[in-house]
Amino acid sequence: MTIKLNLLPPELAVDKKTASILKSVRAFNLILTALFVIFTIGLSAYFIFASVMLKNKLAGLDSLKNKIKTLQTSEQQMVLLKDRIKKINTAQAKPSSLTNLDAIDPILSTLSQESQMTELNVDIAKIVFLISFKSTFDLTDFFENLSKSTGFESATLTSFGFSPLTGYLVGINIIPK
Amino acid sequence: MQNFLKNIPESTKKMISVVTPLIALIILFVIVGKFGWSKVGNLRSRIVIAQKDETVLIQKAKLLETISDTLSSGSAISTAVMPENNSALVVLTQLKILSGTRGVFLGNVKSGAEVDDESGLSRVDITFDSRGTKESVIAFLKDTRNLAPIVKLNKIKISQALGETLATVSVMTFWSELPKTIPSVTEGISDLTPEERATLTEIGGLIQPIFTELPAAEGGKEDPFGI
Repeated sequence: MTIKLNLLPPELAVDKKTASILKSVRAFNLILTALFVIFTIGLSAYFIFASVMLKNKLAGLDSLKNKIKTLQTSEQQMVLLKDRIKKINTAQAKPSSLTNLDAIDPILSTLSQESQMTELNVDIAKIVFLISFKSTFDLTDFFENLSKSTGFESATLTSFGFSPLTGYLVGINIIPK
Repeated sequence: MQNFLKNIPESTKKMISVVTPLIALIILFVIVGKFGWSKVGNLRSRIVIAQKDETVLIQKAKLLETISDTLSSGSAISTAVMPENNSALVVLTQLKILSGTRGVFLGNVKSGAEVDDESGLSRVDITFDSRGTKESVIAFLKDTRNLAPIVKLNKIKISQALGETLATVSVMTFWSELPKTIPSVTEGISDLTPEERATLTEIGGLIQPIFTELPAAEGGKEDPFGI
């Protein structure tokens, strides 16, 4: 039979409830200390690992930057090329009277040998021309070709004259599409 | 003071001795956590930035290495098509050469003053007369679209007399200053788009101006006085 002896003076004794709280807090302290150590070691390890990683990355970046510096001429050419292409496209997009000349050329090329284009004014917005025809046949032939053409928005007969010596003189104003 | 400590009950003393390390641990946790976490967070964000920069630089270096051939020829062609300085003289030379090949006589050439075009480019207007047969004059005018620097026909006035065709033509030609800055080393650069490549192919087919470099003079005349 075991006998429990308490040799402590009664003023040093703690009650059961307090003793159990103390025991729990001590255990919690131990766990928290262990967690703190693990946390600190883990954080330090990660910090060291991340520092090394960053150092390597920065070293890699430096070498890449040096490589790009050796390719600086190519980079300048790329910037220049992109800039020039953009400006070339801007200039190319500007209207040209050549488009109108292209549109009227097939009609004028069907003129007979006797007919003569005395004047042709082409700009970006309109085409104005004067043609002299020797015969009525040439005149009707020209108007037939003009009516068949679809390369313009409207054609206005601005003048029409006739002289027995020179034939017909026709002025036309064309508004392209 | 000693009396005060002696009067504290034993259970309270023990509780204090156990709770004090607990509070100290919690404070340590907070301090280390806050300080360490911010340091690690800072490192992580720097690594992320470095990784991004690395990706951009690798892509940039790769692009510049692979495209360098296209770039050197392309930039030369594009600069001939859209020069840095007033292109009037080069265009006049180009027109003269072209008229020669088309059997057209060029005369009465006048060049206007530099103007700022509404497109943001610099522009100069050139007027000239071209004489020849109707076919050759029209072919010459149509061929101007194949010239470098860019030539845009503004007004064309054609008249015919005694079998000869006279065209009084007004053309515009453009130029623009070269870019003054290049992006920073860590800034990415994009490849040429299909549209840009198409433009490059198109301008590659234009008639480029020929520049002749004069040989440098060798020394000078010998001193005729033998001094």
